[in-house]
Amino acid sequence: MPVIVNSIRRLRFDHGEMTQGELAEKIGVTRQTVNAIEQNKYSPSLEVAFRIASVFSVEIGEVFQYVA
Amino acid sequence: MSFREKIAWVSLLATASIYGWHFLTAQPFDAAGGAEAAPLLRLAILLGVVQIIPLAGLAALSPHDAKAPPDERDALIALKGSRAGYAVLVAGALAACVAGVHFGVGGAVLANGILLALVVAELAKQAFQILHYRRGA
Repeated sequence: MPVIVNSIRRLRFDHGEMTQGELAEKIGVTRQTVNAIEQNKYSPSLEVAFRIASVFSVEIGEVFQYVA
Repeated sequence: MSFREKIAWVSLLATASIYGWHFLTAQPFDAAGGAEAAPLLRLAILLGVVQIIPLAGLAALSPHDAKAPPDERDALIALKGSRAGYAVLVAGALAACVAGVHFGVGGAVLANGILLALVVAELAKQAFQILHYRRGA
């Protein structure tokens, strides 16, 4: 089954061990939503996906990958 | 647990306990009592009070979470909950129509049947929201 996986956990730790709460604050969602995204339980909107990439100053493809 | 999930839990428990008590102990299907508006109003007020007190306590414990607007996942979960609740409500409304047209049910019995459908629909909505919060989305 195709899924969207992500590298948010690694990116957070690469950016000063940013907490889920701090990331949530920066992108305007709850900490629980960040946790759900990280665990691949919830696929965010394109807008939130771009906001996450912007926080880490990377391309969106470096944050999210489509696995067929 | 997010603040929105806590709201769903409070609503579920409050609705189940208040209306459960109403339907189990108040003999609501006694047609002889007639359809009165006052008990329904009392139930609605009681439900509001029972929900406000714990929610105020939760908001006092985590004011930052309480002030935060719902995010896109909250909105999606609310939508999924409403969809489930609507399906239950439609089933209840159709059952009430059949009962009224084909079985001659009316008055207090029909009114309580419709109220029961509303309550079960609300419970389904909250339960599905909690389920989706537990599953992630």
